Amino acid sequence: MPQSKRAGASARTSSETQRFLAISILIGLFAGLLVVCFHIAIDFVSWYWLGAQAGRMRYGRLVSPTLGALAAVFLVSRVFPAAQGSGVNQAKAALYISNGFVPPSSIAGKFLACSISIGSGNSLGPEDPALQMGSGVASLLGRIFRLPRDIMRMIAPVGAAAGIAAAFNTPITGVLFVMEEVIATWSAAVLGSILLSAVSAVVVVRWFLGDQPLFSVPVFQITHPSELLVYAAVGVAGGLLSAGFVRLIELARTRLDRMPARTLYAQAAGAGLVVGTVGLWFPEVMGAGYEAIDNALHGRYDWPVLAQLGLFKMAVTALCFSARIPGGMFAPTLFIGAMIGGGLGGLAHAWWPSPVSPVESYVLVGMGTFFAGVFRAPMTSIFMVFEVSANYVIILPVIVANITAWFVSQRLRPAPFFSMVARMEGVDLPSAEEYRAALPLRVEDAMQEQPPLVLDAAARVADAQEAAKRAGARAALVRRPGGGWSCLPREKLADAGPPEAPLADALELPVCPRLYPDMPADVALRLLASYPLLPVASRTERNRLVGSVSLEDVHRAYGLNT
Amino acid sequence: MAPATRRAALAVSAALVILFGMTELVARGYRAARQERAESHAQRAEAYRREGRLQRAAEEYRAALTFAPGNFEHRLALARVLSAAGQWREAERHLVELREADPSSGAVNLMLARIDAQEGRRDAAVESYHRAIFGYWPEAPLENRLRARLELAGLYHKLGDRTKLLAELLEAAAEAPPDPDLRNPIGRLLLEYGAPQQAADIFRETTRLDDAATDAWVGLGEAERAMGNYRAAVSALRSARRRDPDDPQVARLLEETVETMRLDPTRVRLSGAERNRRSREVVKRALEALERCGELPEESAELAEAARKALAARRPRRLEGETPRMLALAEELWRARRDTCPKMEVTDVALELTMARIMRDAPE
Repeated sequence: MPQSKRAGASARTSSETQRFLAISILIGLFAGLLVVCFHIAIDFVSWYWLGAQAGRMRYGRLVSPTLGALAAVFLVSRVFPAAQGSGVNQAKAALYISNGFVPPSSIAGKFLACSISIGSGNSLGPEDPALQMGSGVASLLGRIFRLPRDIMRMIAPVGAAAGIAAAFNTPITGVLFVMEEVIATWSAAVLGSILLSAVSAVVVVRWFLGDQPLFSVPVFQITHPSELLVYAAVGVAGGLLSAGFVRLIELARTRLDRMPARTLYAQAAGAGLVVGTVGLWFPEVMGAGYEAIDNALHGRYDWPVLAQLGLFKMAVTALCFSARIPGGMFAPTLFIGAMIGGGLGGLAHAWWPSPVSPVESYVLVGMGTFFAGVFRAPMTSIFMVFEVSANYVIILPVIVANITAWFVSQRLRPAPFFSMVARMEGVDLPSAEEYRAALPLRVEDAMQEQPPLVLDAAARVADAQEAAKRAGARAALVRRPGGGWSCLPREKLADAGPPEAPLADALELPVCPRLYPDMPADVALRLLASYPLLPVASRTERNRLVGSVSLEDVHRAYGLNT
Repeated sequence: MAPATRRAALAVSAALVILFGMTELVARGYRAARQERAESHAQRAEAYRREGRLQRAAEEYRAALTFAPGNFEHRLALARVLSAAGQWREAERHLVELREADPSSGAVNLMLARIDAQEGRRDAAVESYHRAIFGYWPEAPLENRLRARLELAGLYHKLGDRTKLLAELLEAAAEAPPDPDLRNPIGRLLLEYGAPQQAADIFRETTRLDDAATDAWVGLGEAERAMGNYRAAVSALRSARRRDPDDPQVARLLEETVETMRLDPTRVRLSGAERNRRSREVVKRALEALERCGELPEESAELAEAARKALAARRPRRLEGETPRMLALAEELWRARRDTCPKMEVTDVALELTMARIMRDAPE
């Protein structure tokens, strides 16, 4: 009976897994369709509200972000309160707090509010909202299909991956970001679903909007090995500036949060006005800024212009985000990184003693550095550069610059951006980076290299009792004739007899599980509920004992007073 | 599948189909709007380009590309406008990308070759020119390939690689279609780069294809004259004058050539006395050319003095030794003039041609 019960449970699990995978595809399809419409809505708002191109509607450009910011803030504060925030923390909250529940109104709210705010020229991007819309769709479908709670908890990240993959038209980036930032583990249980949803979302986007990468990038090559130092400098600059950017947002938001609630619209309008004013001279900083990145990748700007664009974009993005204008941070960080990287590339052209690659290659490399520094997702930033540009030639500079930026930013600001924002909003969401940094304890951290007592199964009972008395051990490991060990409690040994008989004949010696030094201490803890002492063996010589571990040892490793 | 799940699946599938259909409708309109905007910007850009407002044209082409980033023609047009405006770096980035998309495009490779040449990247320029020559040209392929080859020849000329230059020009001559407008420039370049024989061949061929091609007759005359075939040159130039009697350049060339015929002492079938008279005339005119340099260095001044004495001396009875001496003196005077005032323009074309002929024929 118990066996058949287990078989039934296994069959149900398998069916649920299949159902989850099928629903993941549906999530991807729905998220993809939504993101296509979202993308179109932003463009239509931009064309008919902001005016498609710089040079026309000069003063319309001044007021457009203000009006957009007011409308968007009205929507999220009065009509769709669930749609507030950038989107990433909302997806994390669904995972960690609300068992996968994302209010359906957040989908419509994000769609409308962000279409207006971004399309009207506010310096924000569409990716984080797309991520939240993906989570919302996933949550809705999960509830429609009445998925069990443990699957529901994982469904928001599946939708998030679909949303972000569709927004960037980059399946790998979507998967990586969710694994790296949202769920913070490489869980095989959910990886398949995330992949399926991301891929199906990207298929939908490409079906409707074409399969061109986000940026068309000419081919670049690294010209001299010493140039890697310049790329590292781009990484350092990206790291420093990203830390400064996060600090700027922290300060601005804290200051604005202290102001009375009635000033919410004034804050948004003020931020929009600043964006519009900067936009009169630098229209490139308005909106997501993809056209400007593309122009920078094609050598349109000289390095002083690139540097100015990067700095202005930092300021206006920080202001828009702090004023709670709905929209995302991904596109602006790509913009800022690209411009700063390009600016430094231009300087390197003028001053670096050996030949350097075209400035545009620094634009491309710089793009990921700021992202890596702000969001602390280095893998995502590296792969994103490859995917949005469809250019894999400059892999080495991208890795060098992004890892450097990530490292520098981490040293300067321990809390990543989204954790900081969550805490400012009064929610203590776990930080993926903190998860990664908190290394789990392993058996090797708890084990005693000299086991208290090791006996041979052929030893006489009297000798074994004497040895146990001398060692004062509460348990002994007994080496069995055919290999393996038994764990023998002192009481059992004390009761054994006759004294002259070998242990193997006098006692039943069941095999106890062996541990290896690299195993999590958590595994040892569970097993030690049934055994007083466990052998720790070498992985290369299974019968060689490298230590032992007891409950006291594990407690000591965890810092518990035993 | 449980009935509730089945119902949910049906509802979700229906919603998916409806949303897909709606998105398709919206996306169709969106794509059309993008296309329309891209074309509208491209048309404005073309109008600006025609007016010579290159910066505005570039702006419009960039705008067109934001709506149609994959449009090859718009990007190529932008690169062309940027090149014309001297914005090489940006033009190059677009062209490199276009070459990635279509490595065989003749137009893209030709423009890249020009930028490479402009930036002093010699090997890259040559490679791009070759790609342009052997690339794909949707319109007027012969003409465009020929133009690319002539530009490559021009690059070799700048680099001082005469062998490769002539090789390219001869290839161009061999490939050139029977169109005087295309063949004449090749002949001109051959003539300019010191291959008068090949130039004469191509001009002659062109006159055979089109008897009314005045430029070819003029070119043939110049090529023959450069080789010292004055009679043939005069004949060709007279043919040119018959076709275009009002062309002052033809008249001048003819006059200079006839004058050269009268001056040249190396021509065959001249009597000894005539040859000697001409050699004295050459010395006299070479001396005048040297004197026009102004104050002469000591060595040149001594040479000029020696020439004056030689001209003033009575002509000997036997002329066999006198004529070669005079020609040698003329050569020395000409070299001295060249060393003393190399930048001074020679006004006496007949003397210049004659001296070139004498020095070419002189034993080493």
